[in-house]
Amino acid sequence: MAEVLILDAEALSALAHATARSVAAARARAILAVAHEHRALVRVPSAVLAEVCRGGARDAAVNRVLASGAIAIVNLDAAIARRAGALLAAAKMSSAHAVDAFVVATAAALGRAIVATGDPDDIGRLAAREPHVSVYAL
Amino acid sequence: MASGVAKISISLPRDLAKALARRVGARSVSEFAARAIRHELEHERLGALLGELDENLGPVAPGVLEEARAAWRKS
Repeated sequence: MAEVLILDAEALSALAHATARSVAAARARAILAVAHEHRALVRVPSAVLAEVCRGGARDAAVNRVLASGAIAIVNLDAAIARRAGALLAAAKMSSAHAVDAFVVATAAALGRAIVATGDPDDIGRLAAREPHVSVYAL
Repeated sequence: MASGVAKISISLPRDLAKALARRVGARSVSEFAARAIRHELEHERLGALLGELDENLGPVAPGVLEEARAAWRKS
């Protein structure tokens, strides 16, 4: 079973801007609660910040979630970037999916992981060759 | 994360100290303790964040929670 929960941009956004009626927010809260039940770590790959932090007022809610100390950011390093490149090549996907590839490569680098994502098709394609990475659709 | 290190002294039950020494050896105790403490603090803060979300938005529907548990079991 997974020891780490990885949040992509939509999962982080769904938590930051959660409303009672949002299905994505409920699913994101649910997987976060299950991560807590399993004492798993929750991580956001740094590249995801490029998608959710645009320097506007909406950043404040994201910053609040990250400042909670419950979720840590994993910095992108050369090994993760190279792994992401290999995943893109294997899945025959273009660099337009680079952030998705960083997300999957970060998950793979951290061991057995589950990725909460709003884009399960692309993340699933990239994760197809990473047996310890599974996908949870929001 | 603040840089640098702070030296602290802690007291442990004797059996726990022995088990720790067997597990990591004397030199890696700090690294092991830092990882364990960070993990514990994150776990507590995640509990607090979830509590805050529940308070503001109401609880997550049991069915949604069960689906998430099933996904985790399969991971």
